[in-house]
Amino acid sequence: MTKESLEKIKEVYGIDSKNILTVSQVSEYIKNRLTDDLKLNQIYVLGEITNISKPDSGHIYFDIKDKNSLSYNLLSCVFFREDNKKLSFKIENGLEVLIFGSIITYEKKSSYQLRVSLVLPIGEGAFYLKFKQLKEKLSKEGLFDEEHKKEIPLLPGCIGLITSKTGSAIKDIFKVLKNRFPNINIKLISTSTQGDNASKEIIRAINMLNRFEYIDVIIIARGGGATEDLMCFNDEELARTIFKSKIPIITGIGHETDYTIADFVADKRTPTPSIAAKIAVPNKQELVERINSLRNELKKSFDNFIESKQKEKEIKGYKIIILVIIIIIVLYLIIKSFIGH
Amino acid sequence: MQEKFEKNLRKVEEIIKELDNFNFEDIIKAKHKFNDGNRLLDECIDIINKKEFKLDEISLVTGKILSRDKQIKF
Repeated sequence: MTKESLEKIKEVYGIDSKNILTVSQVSEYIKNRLTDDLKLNQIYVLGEITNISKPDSGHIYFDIKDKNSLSYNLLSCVFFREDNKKLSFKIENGLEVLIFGSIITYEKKSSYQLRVSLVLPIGEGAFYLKFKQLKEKLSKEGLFDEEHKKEIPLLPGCIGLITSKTGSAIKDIFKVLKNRFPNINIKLISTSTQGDNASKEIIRAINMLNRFEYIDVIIIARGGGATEDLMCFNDEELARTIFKSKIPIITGIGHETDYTIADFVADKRTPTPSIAAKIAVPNKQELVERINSLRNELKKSFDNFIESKQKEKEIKGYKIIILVIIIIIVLYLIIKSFIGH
Repeated sequence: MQEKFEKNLRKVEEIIKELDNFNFEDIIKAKHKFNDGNRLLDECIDIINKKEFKLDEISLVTGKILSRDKQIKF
């Protein structure tokens, strides 16, 4: 604003220059007010994502609105590249989220935005979305492909067992192992099977068991629990460790209806720890029966062979006798005809 | 061990097939194979019975087998 124009305003409209603000001053004032307002700084905002835009810059722009609301109120959000690097799931329209951030102004467009520091998915839908996205990613990479599944040995010399020694799964497993094959060799590594450290502990245990050359199969087991309790089995690094394991891995996690990422990548997924144990070892009694049955078959086949060979011999004998008789008859007839002449 | 077990069973199955198809010239050769089959099955029984129940707990921290007194008892 020039001095002349201010003077002209005062002369024409009677407005004093100290009551007049520039655009920059207004913008600056709003910016300062918003920055100073604690109610708009480092706040949590709950909403549903809409209008996502992901330009090449790496920043993510989206709006949030109240879930299931018919109102048109939107809050613009900006999730800068340096802040969204650690995002563990893909942001999608319709996803309900809790956002942590601060209101900032964008003076060039006379607008305000929520600068996002953290996005947390909310509700079962969010868990499912995260699970679905990881499943799709690993599936595309071929981690679940049948061609990569290692064969489970018929008679393992030694079983590696990864579970919590205080959990319910271990008791079920031992019960089945003792019933099916009482004289089995087991190497147990007790780990957490839920909580923040569980996946890291299980990864460590898998890597440790892979150092033992004589372990033929690994069981990863956990009893039933809430979906959140099984979250550690949906860890990407754990999935990759299972995939890389040289020893075939059987999972028995939760109940029949529970499916985790670990199950998909395992060489054999079983619905419960008990069934994992059942798959890992044969029934000793059945093996003995199979051996006995083969022994009977072998004897039967040998007896048949001997019988056939003897019959063959007998038939050969009969053939010779018949031949001799024929020769005698022929000779008799020849001699008789000579005598007759 | 498990490889030998499976291999033996497969061999016996082959011998049975050979006997059924009369692939042996004479009884002496067949008898010899029959004895082989029985010996292989005896080995399978030995493999099953030789294994004994053994539980070792491995430390998640050190990766070493824990001493007996520290291990879980069932």
